[in-house]
Amino acid sequence: MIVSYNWLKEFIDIECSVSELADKITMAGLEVDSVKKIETYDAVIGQIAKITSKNGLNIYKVDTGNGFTEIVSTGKRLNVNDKIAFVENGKKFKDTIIKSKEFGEFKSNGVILSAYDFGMDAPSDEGLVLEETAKNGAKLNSIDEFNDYLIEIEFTPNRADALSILGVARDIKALTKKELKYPNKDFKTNGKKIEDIISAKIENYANCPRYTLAAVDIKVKPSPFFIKMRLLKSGIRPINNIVDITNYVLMAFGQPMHAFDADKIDGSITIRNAQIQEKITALDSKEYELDEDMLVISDDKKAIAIAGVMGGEESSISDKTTTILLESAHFNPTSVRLTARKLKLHTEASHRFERGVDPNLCIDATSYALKLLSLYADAKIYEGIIDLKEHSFESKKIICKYSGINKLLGSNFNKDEIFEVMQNLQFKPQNQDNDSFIVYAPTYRFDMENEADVAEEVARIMGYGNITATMPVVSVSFKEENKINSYQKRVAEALSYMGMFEVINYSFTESSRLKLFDKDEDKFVYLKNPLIENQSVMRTTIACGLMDNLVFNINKGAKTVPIFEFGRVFFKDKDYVKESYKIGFLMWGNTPLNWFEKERFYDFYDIKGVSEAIAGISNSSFIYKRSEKEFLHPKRSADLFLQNENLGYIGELHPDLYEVFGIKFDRKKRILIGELSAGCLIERLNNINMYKKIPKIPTVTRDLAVVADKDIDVQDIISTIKNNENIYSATLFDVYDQLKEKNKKSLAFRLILKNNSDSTFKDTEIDEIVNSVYNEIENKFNVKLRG
Amino acid sequence: MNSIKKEFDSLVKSVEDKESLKQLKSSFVGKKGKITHFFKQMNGLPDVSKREFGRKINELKGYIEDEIRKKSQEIDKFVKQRALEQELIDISLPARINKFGAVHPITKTIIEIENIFQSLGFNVEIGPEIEYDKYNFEMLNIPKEHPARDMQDTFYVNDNVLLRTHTSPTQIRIMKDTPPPVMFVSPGKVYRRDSDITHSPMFHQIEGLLIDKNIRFSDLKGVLIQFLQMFFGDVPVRFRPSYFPFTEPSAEVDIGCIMCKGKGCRVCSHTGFLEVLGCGMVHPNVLANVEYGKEYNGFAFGLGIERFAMLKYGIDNIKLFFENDIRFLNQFSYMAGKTL
Ligand SMILES: [Zn+2]
Repeated sequence: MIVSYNWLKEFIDIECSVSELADKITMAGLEVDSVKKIETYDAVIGQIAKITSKNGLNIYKVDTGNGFTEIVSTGKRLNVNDKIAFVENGKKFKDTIIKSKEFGEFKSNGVILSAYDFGMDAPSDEGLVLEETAKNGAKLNSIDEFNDYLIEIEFTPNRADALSILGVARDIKALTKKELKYPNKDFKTNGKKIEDIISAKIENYANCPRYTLAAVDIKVKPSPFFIKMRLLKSGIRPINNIVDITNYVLMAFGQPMHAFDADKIDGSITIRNAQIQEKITALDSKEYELDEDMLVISDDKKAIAIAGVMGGEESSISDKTTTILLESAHFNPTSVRLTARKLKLHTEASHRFERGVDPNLCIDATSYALKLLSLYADAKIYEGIIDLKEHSFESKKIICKYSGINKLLGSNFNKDEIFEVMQNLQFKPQNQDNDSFIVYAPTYRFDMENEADVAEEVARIMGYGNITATMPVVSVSFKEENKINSYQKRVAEALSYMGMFEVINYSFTESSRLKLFDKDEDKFVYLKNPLIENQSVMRTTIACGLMDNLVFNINKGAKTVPIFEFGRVFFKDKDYVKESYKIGFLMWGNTPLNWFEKERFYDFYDIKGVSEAIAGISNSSFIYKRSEKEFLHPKRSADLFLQNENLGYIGELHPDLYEVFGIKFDRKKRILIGELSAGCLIERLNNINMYKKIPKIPTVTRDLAVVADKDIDVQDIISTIKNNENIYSATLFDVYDQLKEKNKKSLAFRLILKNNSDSTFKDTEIDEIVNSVYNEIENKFNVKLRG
Repeated sequence: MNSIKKEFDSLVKSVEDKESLKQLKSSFVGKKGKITHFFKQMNGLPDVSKREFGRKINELKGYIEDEIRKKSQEIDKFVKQRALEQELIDISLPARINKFGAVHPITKTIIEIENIFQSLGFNVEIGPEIEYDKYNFEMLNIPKEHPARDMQDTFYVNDNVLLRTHTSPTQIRIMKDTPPPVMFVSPGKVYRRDSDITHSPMFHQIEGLLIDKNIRFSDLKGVLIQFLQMFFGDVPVRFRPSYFPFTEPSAEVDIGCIMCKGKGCRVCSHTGFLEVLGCGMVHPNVLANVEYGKEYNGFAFGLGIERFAMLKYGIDNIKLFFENDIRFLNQFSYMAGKTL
């Protein structure tokens, strides 16, 4: 909401500067977003002396207070004697110097300003008409309304009470201890009685606890200058004096009001629930279909307003209106909120009603409006105001303790200070005993329930800065570490040190993409209201995101993409969702370029390096079995098992899939991808290996080179070797598959022998062990010693 | 004899290697050397002169042998030094280490924040990302149709299940299952139906909760000032009244702008302050919802990880975190700044 500083000063004396004021109210909970001075630059006041119209142009002869000048305008025609704001050629307005402009045969000596030129919400082609008393030739900022600041305040939803000039002034009163100045609300009635023209009833008191109506004969015309200006400053477009006055009262007091054209009302007024599919054309000229949960204001025939949201077009004020019914009511916040949300119709009125409007404000607001109508609309006011309510609206009584407030805040405010804050906030405090006191929260404070709420009031008025920081004394003991959290850190650190980049992707994706990696569509979790279609299903795999990252980076010119992500995946589980953790990883392109190794492309064994590292973090080892997943290369992929549980896969993406992602298949640059369920890896995070005794005697190593069939898995040979009781470890250190015999490969192992006694091996013993190893693998895999 | 000494002195000076030294040695003190030759000449001299002559020759011999030894050591040293010199390498060549790899700046920031809170005694807890409406809103004192729901536009899975809009439901889950006191932080992803230059539909928060006997608003100030100054350095911190349905009193916390040191700049909209987190004393209704006894109270706070990371590293666009451009990620590498 934008608050005019001048308007605010009508409600309370302000002695500090506007920036100090902004700071003060910000620190009391009304956050000031900006303070802007209205700048008038070189604009001066003039008056239209004569108008010549030709070819859609208006040539104004303007009295400058010091002679006459001619200004040409294409905008909406002004009237003779209108006071206007203008800038002469060669003078400055905003960042520009006004230049002479020619319109055919006419030359303009300046420009006439519109409210739009001051950043207000108004048509740019409509010259702003100033007050009649403005002095020709005087600087524009000699008019008070141009000598003003616009204070933009962002209100939290609990502070409905402050959504008006009066509301802001009330906080300033509490902060500065000045008295509020209420505007004069006296008006005279005209003798005619309201009963003679209208009657009203409420059918649903729950949603409309109070409804008031006044009746007035009026003359519709433009509003006086100051009302127009203040509405413009508040972001509301002036329309005519009647509508403007209802809006003016709304901004001043926070009470939404509505004026009906009395002649358009059939019979009496009823506040009732709408009928199913009942229709109404509202003030915005749009037709709305209502439902039976919505509240309407109705005459004998039809709905004439959507209660608390917007009036109907038909009964709205027109130039011909002569009698109005002026509504000031209190509607149930939830009811208004539901209606506004269902209709997607959010107005100044609904915004306030759904946050809460003081039920005791109706009559004050009406009185002020009637006063303004008598001043600016030639009003003849009918005697009596219809005021429908079931009961009166009482202040909320809250019992508090001074000690309780200080204990919650950790403050040392004394009783008098707290009492005074309550007084200044109009909470009518009463001391009960030495420590307890009662406050009566005003009916505009919908946010007051208990002592904590009162404590906040004390704290915000005394200033949060006046509570000295302390450190808590706690009795909480340290729990065991959170395993998921620790695991995530370990994975992120380990894989990044290996040369992988951690990525973070959105948890939602596109279902067609997801189906490439996960056939189990029944388990997908869909969003009811996705922002965009390709973010409509929760991921069940990390792979989609990694593929997106690959494509993105290739398009950005990347040559090397080694990435991983640890995150959650989501599966449908009856009415709810099961979440679990996965680690996904992808490698593509060149190995990082350097001077000490030959450049090559990532292959299966690189991605296997990642899965092995992941196994290592959990002190586990995986079994690799050939995978049959459709999205993987049938001969270059593996399913990974930990004990008997399948945790995931690694491998090359199937060559057929490259195109789906818009990547050209390149025989050399394969996409390697892997994904593991992290659940049991997280569980094993703190697994440890027990220490094994180091043999006392020096290590004996021997190399063994054999030739094997190509289709034999080395993993099987190694585990056979390791099963030999005299072998401590076996390391494959050479593989060569370009032998003359095409179906053979040569393998070389370095064996570390295990000495089960305490004495040194004899050469014959060593030979015996190596022979026995060889014999075992020869028998099992038909390998031959390399010649 | 003097001339022999002179001759030796000048010869030994010019020797540069072991072989020449050996030759020099044998030409003076070897079997056919000049000194040996003197000893042979001595036989013909009278006894008195013989003794005197012998002593002088021995002196000279001793001198020469000493000098040869010294020279030999000198040559050894020189040879070693020259060998080392020939092993010159270019120490400016890049290291034989992988220049790649980085932890995502979001994870990095979460770890840093967690470490600070862990050092202050907070545990770490994790909550689900898909939540019941009940935990995300209702039990946090945000009933259906509460205007505060406008503050958080929500993705729904069905009428009762949604993507959590904040990490606060973790408060409810932990308090429901754990008797007081509790003290933890909870990081994680949150989701809001909002996407523009400054908003991402998914982002990260960290939630904090401390419930015990006698916890005061001033303690909340103390803990958060400590945390913010550990994370951002020695910045001014101010607490401003605000509103969250699940805390009362509530506060918004600002730090002095780290870009302009409080002078006012574009980043802080010329206010000199940056809003960094929301907090407050846990609302009595929330404590009642989890059936905590009246003797317990405490504080809660929540902050956006992206905002912290953006301020800390000077990142100006939230989208960068989720595009995962390698050129962006590489800047957070342990080898940051090296070329790819
Ligand atoms: Zn700044």
